[in-house]
Amino acid sequence: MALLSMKGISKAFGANRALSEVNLELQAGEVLGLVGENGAGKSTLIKTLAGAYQPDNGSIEIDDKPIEVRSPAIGIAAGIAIIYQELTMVPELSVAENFFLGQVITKGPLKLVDRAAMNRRAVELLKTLDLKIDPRLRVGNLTPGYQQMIEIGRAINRKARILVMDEPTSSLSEHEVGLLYQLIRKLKAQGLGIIYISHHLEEIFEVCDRVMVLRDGQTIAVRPTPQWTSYSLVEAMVNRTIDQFYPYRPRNLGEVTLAVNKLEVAPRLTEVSFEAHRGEILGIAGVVGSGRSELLKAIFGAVPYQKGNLSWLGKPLKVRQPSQAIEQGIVLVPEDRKNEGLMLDASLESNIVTSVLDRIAVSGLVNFQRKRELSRQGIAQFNIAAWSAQMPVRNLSGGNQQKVVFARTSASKPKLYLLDEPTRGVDVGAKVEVYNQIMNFAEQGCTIILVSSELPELLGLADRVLVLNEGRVVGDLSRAEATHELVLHLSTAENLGTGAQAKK
Amino acid sequence: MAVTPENSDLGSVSLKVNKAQTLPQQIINFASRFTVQIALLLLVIAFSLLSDRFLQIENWSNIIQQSSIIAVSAIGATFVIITAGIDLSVGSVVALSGILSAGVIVNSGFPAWAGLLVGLLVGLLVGLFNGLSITRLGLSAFIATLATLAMARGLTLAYSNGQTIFGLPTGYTFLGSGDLFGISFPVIITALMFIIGHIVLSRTVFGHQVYAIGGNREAARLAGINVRRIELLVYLLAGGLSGLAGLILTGRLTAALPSSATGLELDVIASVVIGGASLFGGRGSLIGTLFGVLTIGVLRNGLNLLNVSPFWVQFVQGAVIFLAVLIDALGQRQRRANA
Repeated sequence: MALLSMKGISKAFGANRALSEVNLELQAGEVLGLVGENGAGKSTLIKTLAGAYQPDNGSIEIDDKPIEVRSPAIGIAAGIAIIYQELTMVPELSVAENFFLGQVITKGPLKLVDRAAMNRRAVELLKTLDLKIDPRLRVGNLTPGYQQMIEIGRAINRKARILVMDEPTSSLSEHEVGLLYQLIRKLKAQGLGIIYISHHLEEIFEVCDRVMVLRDGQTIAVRPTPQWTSYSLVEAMVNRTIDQFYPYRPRNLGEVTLAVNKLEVAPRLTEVSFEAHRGEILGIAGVVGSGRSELLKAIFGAVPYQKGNLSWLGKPLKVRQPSQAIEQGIVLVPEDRKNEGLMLDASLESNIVTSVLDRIAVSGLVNFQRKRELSRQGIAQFNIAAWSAQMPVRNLSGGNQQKVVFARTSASKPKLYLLDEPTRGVDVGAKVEVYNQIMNFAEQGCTIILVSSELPELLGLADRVLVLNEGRVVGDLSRAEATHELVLHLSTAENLGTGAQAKK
Repeated sequence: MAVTPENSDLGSVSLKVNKAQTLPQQIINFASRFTVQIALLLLVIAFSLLSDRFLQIENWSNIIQQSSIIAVSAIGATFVIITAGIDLSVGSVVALSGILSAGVIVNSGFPAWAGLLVGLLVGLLVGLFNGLSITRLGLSAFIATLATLAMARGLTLAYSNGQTIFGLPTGYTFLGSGDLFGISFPVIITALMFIIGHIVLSRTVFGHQVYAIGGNREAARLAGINVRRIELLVYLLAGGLSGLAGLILTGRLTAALPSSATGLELDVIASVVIGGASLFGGRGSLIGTLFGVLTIGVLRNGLNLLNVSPFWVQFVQGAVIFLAVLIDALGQRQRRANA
């Protein structure tokens, strides 16, 4: 008897067939990985399970009993819990209050809130989660990783039997990811069924018992994890053969273009010094919170620095605002494209030309022909899939949105690309395209500084890897020296000073 | 290489055009994109049927002249609202500019043109104050301009001692009461301001940057736009235009009343919002605002002609605004759901 059985689920939005006859089976005590490109139908399937959508056809059964999940409330009552990428915590309330959101414990005839009872129950829940946190702590003070565990705790409190986790590790530190895996194994042992959605294949292989691939709204294959390899998985997702995931091509590096000297950026960076060369892809590794984004933003002029100096192309670089950096040929692809990189409700065209408005204008008046031209070039160069340059960027998939950010930053013909997590939330097909673009830029003589939490990506593309820890550069590794273990060690070890050697 | 759905790697299936909409959905889709035009059309049709004086030339001349104060102020408000800001001090600035410009002429013997200049300067100064409070001191626009609303009104009453200022020369009042080749000055100024404003908002770098800031302030900053400078300019503009509106109003009444334009900000914001701008920023246009202003003007005028009590006029006005914003919200929701 299967814990959860979704049979023949079909769902269309107008002419768009999001799901066609999808079958999904989940046993109690198993973790089922669900993978597919953006637009493959994963979130539609999950939302159907959650009761946010009603399927056009097909049925859902829990414990072999058919159930119609007409609303999310019914879904929750049936034991279905979805942990979305965007957490639903209320930052101002306490941990206990968040556990009981919408299901507050009351006492007495006046139904007053019984905080004491909630706190007691919260302590029990926290023990189950192996977390040592005061239940009265304000949730907003916790890191995203811990907030996510509280969200899982809420699901457990609601007696969830089916847990769906959508991209659970996107804001987690390596340590928190470990905690999450432990929690998942514990919940498995307690008989919960877990559906795990992620773009990070290493995680899928680490934690899932079986893996199901969706493509274009259809089930392509479901196999036990050992029967998949990362290549076969990706090929099933994109329906193409991938010879080489990271298109690294060595090239001749030129002179020093960017020099960073004893930079101090409060609060996390105390003294950062390094050099980057023409045509080089310099990777920057470090744990979440090591100051990588601040470093890029300081070079870009988006964030002030307290001490130190910069030089670019042999001359001192003094930028106090992004517009000055852009004029000097330096651009930033920010970490959070939705909040920092795009005007979501504006058109592709408008987004692409935002940084170069002055260059397409004559005495203040924008030349609309050049605007259209520029946006067409950007769309073609980055292979952005959109049916019109006028459509709002909000409606594009994550991968295409990221390409729009690339198109915008490239429009100013920069010589230094500061890339902060350039493939976060981007599907596999688009990732490969982005990697190729990065390699092209480097081959054309641009300098690339790449910050990425995905070590395989960093190690796959970079010519050199710097490791940030405790506010300084603790490692400057060549491509050959940079291994996953060494980088991880340097990122997390304490009291390293500078230029440490790895312990073997 | 042109990108078409066939030869591109569609990252998201939901990009395909959603042609199959139910009838109510199609109605909402259409209505929400032309809300204000439809509203205006319906009102014009309704009133012309209900009153035979409605379509007469003098009546329309009335409508446009009476709306000119709201119209000119609404131009500045449109810029501010598109940046996701708000300016509540509009009415008070109109009054202050009127009182001070009239006062320097009548009380201090300034020539008419100097009085006009003073009025504009007053508007610009308040605009500058608003802009600096918001961009340099980091105050929220709502609070900062609310405070200015009170302070400017207070200054108006203090300076005038609550008294109306009469006896203004024609060199001053022509702005509100005069005409050129038979067209009244307020109308000419309003039309001119709208044309210039529209060109600036839709075609200049400045205009693009205004939309970008409203769309996503942080993204605009990281894209190299000098957000604080543009925001400052936008409030400066709003203040200056309110100052101009104050001159027009005083010219029309040939007197400066310390109580004038009380509550103007509500009419102004309503016009801009009915015209399609979003208070969250990033959307709106001066053409829309123009329709919004006309809608409010036509509504008020028509109800007057029908001898509806002024109390009920306010209610109906509110109801129309509510409906317009509701339809717009439904349209937005639908567009988001289809994404």
